[in-house]
Amino acid sequence: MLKTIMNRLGQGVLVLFVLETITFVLIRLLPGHPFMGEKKLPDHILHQLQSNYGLNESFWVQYAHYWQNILTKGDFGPSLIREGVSVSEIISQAFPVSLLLGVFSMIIAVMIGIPSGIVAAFYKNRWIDWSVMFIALVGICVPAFVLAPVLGIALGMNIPFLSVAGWDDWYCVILPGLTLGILNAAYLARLTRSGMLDVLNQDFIRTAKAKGVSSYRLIVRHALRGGLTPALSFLGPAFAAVITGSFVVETCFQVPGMGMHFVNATTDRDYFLIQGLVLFYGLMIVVANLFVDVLLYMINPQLRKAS
Amino acid sequence: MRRNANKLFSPIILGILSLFCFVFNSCDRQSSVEKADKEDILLVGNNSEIQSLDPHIASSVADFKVIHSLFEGLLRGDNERDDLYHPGVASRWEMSDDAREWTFYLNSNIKWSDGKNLTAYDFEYAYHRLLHPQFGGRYADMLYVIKGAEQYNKNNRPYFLLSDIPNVSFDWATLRDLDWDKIEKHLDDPYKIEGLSDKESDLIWATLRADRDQGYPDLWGSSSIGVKAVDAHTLKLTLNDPMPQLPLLILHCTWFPVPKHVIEDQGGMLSRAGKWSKPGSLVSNGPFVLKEHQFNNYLEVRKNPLYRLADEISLNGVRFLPIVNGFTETRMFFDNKLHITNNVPPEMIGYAKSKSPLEFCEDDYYVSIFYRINTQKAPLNDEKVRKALSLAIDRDSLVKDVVRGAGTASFGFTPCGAGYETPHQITFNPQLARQLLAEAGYPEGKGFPAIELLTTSREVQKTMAEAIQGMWKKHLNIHIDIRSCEWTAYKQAQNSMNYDLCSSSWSGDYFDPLTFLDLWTKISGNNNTGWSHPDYEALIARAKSTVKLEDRMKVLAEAESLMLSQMPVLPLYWSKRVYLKKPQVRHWNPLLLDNHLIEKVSLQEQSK
Repeated sequence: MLKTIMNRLGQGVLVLFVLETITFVLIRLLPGHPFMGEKKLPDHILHQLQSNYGLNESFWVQYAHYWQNILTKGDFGPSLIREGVSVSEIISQAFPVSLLLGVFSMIIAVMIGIPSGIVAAFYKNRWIDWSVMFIALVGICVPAFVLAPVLGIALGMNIPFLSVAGWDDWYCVILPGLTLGILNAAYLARLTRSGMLDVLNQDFIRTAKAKGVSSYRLIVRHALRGGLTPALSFLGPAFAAVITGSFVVETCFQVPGMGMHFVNATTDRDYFLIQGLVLFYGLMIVVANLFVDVLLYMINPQLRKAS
Repeated sequence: MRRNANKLFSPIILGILSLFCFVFNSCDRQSSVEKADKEDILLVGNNSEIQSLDPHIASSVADFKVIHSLFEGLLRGDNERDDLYHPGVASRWEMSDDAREWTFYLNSNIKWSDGKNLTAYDFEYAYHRLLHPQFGGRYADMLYVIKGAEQYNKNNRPYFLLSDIPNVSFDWATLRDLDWDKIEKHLDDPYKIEGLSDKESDLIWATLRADRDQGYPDLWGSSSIGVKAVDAHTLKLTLNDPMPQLPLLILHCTWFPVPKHVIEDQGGMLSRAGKWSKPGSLVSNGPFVLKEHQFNNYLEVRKNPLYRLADEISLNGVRFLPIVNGFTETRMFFDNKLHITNNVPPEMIGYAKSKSPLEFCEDDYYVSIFYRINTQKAPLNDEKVRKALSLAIDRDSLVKDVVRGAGTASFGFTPCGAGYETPHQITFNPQLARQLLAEAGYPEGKGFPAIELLTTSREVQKTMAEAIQGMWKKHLNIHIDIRSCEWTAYKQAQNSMNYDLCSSSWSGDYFDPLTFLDLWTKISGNNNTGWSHPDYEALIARAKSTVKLEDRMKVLAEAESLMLSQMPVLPLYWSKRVYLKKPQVRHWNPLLLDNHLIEKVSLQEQSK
């Protein structure tokens, strides 16, 4: 087990390194530069700004400096758009917000998605299955930029304690959380259903049924462990994605999370910020996947046997 | 078992009950606006997250709005009219007869928010910093009207070194054209500089060598720079050209003072990453001081008790919310989360107007919307083609149907105002357009090559482009392609003139037509059309050196008329600022430059 974890960690570091290198190259290949204001800068000022941030050095020197600063000083560099603010500061302000929203929405997603997937699988091809799966399909098809304003107008404007947008009180988390939660719940429901169906068709379930095991016990004790595998594999990266922010939901609900920075840093060519964010997101994905692997290993005896 | 069940469920029931109580309690919750009304805090939508509060680094409109509430310059604008100004840090000022020499006398009891005295040296330091060649101030060119400022900013060392030599007067007009890069490279093997006497030549070599040997010292002290703090309360500015309109120019943030003592303490003049402009260390001299800033959430300023007119400020503070999405902002306004929004998207104008006509505001704005034309590329290098394109645009329809009334169809390029009469030269005449196109060699649009219209990815720009594409197809029978790309790529294409037609806008930095007409000079970095005309250059230069206001405006109108007759741009409309405002907000008046004096705004009593 420990060997697997170490192995995965090693792979993770390699993935992060490659990811960061590709980002470093790609962001510099995009047309334009970070100092592209409304007004065109005179050449002497542009040159001065670039030299202030070492951007007029050769590619390799910049690349070496970047890693050197991260590895020796833990410095991810300054934001080139919000001058005087470091990338670490931006992430440390935005991450707690996205984390709170992400955890809340994932709780909603799990609470709605997994039970409805189980119910649908249990009542396979009956009206209850059809209706749950229809709703899930709608949930998957409706994009966040439709669901968010619809929820904002339908609920936020009409229920006094809900807020249409903004981030100044605890209840502001409800609508964005619900939006992200519903979207992920739809995926979870479908994955849980298919995972459960795989398990429910197996011989040991038939045996258990023949022995007279109650439906509740059949699902909770026998089927759930195996049936949740696809949902769990999805949950890891989905959780990493949600806690690192969603641009659409953040824009629609004016949430000061990480998603806005992702998009804005790219369009603004804020080189260091986008590199820092990609590295952070990559790290979250690696950790979440590792966590899911460990979890699957623990609940799935077949995996344990294989190792 | 039953007892166990009771034990298990009673906390759950209690929990649910308390949640209900909480929710009911929440139903009585005051809205953000009601809460803010009680505390006298104004909630303002501010379009986007600020980039910096350092007046020398700031570059977005959102930055400037906050900076206007935090700092105060020599003069203060007016809350009702864009062409008026009042004493600010300076209590009085004098202009020389030729309008080149300006002396500002500072109020002696002005203090920074940390209690230190504000002096003329802070102004001198501020202008020094913004212009310093190693600082890289984006808006440094706003100060180029000052004598020597441009040369200093561009680190033109010979200009200062040679003009500072005692008892020798070099004529810079003749020296300017020398190959200074070559001279710089030959400091150790000098040659005789052509067109100069041996003595002059030797003097130049010796001066430049001495400069190098001293390690290129800062030249700010040169007598050729027109900024001088005569004493702690007197600031003298010498300008390149006569400029009776200087007071309107210096209302811009780039002319504000910065606290020398704080900046020197936190990284020094040239540090761009200094912490001095952050909450906790930002020291300012305006009506408000920075209290708190949460990225992408809000920025709050509070009344500055040390402000010279602190007693007259009714608000306790202002909260700026960086709401990028106009739809979100409008929803927040109707949910009582904002007093004033930044804008209403065109798609929402009808809804907002009908839902709340009294809260709907439509103010004129000093912004011109137009298409740049790449005049270097065929077929657009033909003046007739450009004119035909312009004549085939129905601007009234654009304003009515595309931007839903949030603008005025333009009949020239520069918006009216500041005593300027924009020449009426733009009309809609499809018949004449077809005739001109035929004269250019494309009768009925036949043989017209494929051209492309570049826009940003903003929805309204794409709709506008489609509308104009349709008009040209209908009236001229020509087809254009639309290419929309994200902002930085669009800007890059525009700056490198990698386009045929390009959607553009320009907002005035100060209240004077020159802020628009200066764009089309040859040396303007924002021209990007490839068009220039010697007569236009001469007219602009003449306007700059004309002291009498009416004469100056006439010359500028003549210049605009010339520019429009050659049509390097297609003016479309003058934008309006469309926003929503709660009725309790008082003294927020329509202003073309949108520089509101927030310290004059108040929230009406009876609403509290």
